[in-house]
Amino acid sequence: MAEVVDEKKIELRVIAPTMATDKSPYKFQKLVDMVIMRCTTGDMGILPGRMPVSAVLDAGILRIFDESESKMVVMGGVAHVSDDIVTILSDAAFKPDEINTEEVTAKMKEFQKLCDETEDYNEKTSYRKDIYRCQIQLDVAAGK
Amino acid sequence: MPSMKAIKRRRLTVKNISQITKAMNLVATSKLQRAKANKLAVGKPVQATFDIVYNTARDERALEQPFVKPREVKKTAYVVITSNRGLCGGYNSNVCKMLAKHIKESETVPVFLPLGNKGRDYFLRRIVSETRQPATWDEEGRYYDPSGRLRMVDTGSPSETPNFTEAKRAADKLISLYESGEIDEVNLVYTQFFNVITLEPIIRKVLPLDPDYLRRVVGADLKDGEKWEDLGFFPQPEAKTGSAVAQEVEFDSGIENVLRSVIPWYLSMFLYAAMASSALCEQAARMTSMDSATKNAGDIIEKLTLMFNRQRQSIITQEITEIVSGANALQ
Repeated sequence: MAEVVDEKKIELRVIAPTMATDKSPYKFQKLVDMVIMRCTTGDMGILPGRMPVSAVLDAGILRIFDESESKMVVMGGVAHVSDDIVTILSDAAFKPDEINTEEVTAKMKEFQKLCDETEDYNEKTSYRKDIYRCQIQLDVAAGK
Repeated sequence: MPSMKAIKRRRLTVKNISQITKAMNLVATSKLQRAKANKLAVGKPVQATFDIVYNTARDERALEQPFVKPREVKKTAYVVITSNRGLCGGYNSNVCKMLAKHIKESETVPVFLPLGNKGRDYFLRRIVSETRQPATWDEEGRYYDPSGRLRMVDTGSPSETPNFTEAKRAADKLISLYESGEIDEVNLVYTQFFNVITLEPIIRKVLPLDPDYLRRVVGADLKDGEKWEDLGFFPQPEAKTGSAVAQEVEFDSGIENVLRSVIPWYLSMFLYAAMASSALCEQAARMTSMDSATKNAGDIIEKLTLMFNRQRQSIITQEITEIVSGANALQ
């Protein structure tokens, strides 16, 4: 018996207006098999046929499954799934080849230094978040 | 009658001005194309944002949320989008005059957030002449009149090309003012582009959210006699976008959190799109006004040339008459 292949896909649209180009209004747009995104409540996987959902995104890695797995860094935002379209609104989203590792490493060191120097709890938490954001960028750039 | 020298000088001045207006017309034409592409590029992300906002705001639970629940309106904020520079016909004055008329008819206290120097100067002048006190700004760039009412919030001078970062900065200010209760309603005042000649200033309420307006935009559901262009600057949605109207949506992090995250996006995108629309109108207005200025300069040059030639001819005729009468006298 021939293998039944489900050809249904979902459309992923990443909107990051600060990086919109003249050619496409979307930062990233592709038909994919599955998307795993980092929400504030944990990771959420989206497959074709998902019922409509809205979620708040945390800074994290967006995992895109097509023929192979690819990754993007999304610095928080909002996601909405409807009609097999996943729309992600984010201030900043980077593909691995767009990450300048030297610049990010320098920033990370700077944040680490500021974090070590400060005694204020809120400032420390904010610097730790910045360090985490740099770390995920470096992880994605290194293909981890 | 002015002397020939004076006419020549004036003709040269007009010619120089016409060269400038011609160059400005060409620059505006080229910038118009870029602004058109920019406005088109903004359309789809705006539509996607509206889709999400509508699907969140139409939920019954959202009606009690601060950004959706209507309040008693005492202070209304107006984000006035104008240009930083003049020489663009009636573009700036149309926006300012329409808003001034609207405020005259309204009973609430207006709070201005100008995006563009021309609008800022116009309304600052009005407030200063009304209060008869010089404007004093606090550290956060807010101007309170002598009776302690907030009248204007400085949002800086936006660049000529619309920029999402600037729109976001203004949106963040609006949200903090709205949450602190310093404003009860937010309106955008911008110019809508129909074609190069038809540019219409409009006032659109953006906060608190109006689910009915969002439904009409998202579902392309128009009222009787309403045209799509009347709704705003968005490209008409594809058929499948309209199906979003009937869907039930699950909120993963709770409706309050989703709404709290989506509202800054909605405001920023709305502002960004309004700025893109206004930038396009500015270039269109500059192009048409510079074109007519060049034509008018051509007419003046023609008149001055005619005047110059007539005067030269009359001098020549007079000289010939003098020579002839001199010769006659010698005979």
